[in-house]
Amino acid sequence: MKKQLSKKEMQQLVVIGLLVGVIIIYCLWTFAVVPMLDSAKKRRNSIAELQAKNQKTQRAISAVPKIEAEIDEMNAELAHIMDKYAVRPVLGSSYQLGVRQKIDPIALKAGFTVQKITARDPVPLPHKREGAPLSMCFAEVQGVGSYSEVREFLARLERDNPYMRVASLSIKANPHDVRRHNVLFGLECLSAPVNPNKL
Amino acid sequence: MNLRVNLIADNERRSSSFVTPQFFFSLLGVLITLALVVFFGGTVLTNRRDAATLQREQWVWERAQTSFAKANTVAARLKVAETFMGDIKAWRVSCCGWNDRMTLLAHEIPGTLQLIEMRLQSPVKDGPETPKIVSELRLSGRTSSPTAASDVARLRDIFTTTALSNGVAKATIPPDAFRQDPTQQDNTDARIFEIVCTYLEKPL
Repeated sequence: MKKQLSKKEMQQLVVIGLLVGVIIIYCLWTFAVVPMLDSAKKRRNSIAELQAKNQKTQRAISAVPKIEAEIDEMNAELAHIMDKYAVRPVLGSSYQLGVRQKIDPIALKAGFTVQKITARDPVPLPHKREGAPLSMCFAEVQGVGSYSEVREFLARLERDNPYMRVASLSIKANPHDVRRHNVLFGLECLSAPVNPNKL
Repeated sequence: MNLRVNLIADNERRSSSFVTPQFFFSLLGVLITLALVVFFGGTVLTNRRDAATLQREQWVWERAQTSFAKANTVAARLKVAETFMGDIKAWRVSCCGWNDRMTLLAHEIPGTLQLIEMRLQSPVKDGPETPKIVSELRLSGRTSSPTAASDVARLRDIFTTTALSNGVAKATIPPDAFRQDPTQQDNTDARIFEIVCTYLEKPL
């Protein structure tokens, strides 16, 4: 015959059952559920990071043809500037003659008499940039002309070659001829490097 | 006399209720077990799926490496090219303007003053950040007008009051620049003067 449990014994059994249940749930939670959730969270974070990185990569890769087209466009613009405005070394590496080719026609049209042109060796342009696609050569232009001829020369220079910069200008009264002043221009001219770089 | 005979022992008694404590605890046990199985099973399945997704994304990333390196190189080239073109455009903008200034100056200069020298310096100076164009215009002249002082002051003021003031930082007559002409000591009205006009720095 089965022994009947007293009420007190039943209560003790229930308390022990509850305690064992709580311990089992705690152990399951601490040693199984939490590590599993943590690792799942870490993995999801890794996936999200990787997906974002992959999307960025795909965007960058798909933009390549557009970027290459833009660079080609810039190279074409640069080639146009170089062809039209840049001083080129003539007969080997003489920028002197190149400057003369640009200055003489303008001076002739303006009525400004060029007496002497001295061109220095070019430096990279933009300033102090290694691998710059262009260069800048400084030229001193000495001549005589009236104020209006100098003005006309300057106007034509600025209109015909917007890449030629007046770095200095000196107009001095000429004691021998009050109408024709002594003029000295310091010009910074855009020039094509001997070995041009592409962008 | 009433006689009551109880033939069922206490431990043989059964409750007539449909939900007995035994049934309730059995059901609870089954439900908890089922919940645990569903939870762990779901977690395992999700983990497997996530692992497969991670592997696929890693494969995509590794596969795109070469193309991505090329894209980065091209993007860097574009950046450099844009900087170069920007600098060249800035150079072009900095080139113009002196012809207009000379035209305006010819119109504004008082008739009583005679310029004997005009000197413009507009060099590019390398600063700590970007190169700058620092321009200065120096006018030297002579006059024998009785109103020389006011005429020279008027010439100085055209650099701050007329269209010539565009881009001008300041225009001054340096100390002792307005004085007796040393070549004409006997003519007390003969004066020489100098005006220095400094322009605002232009970043290149």
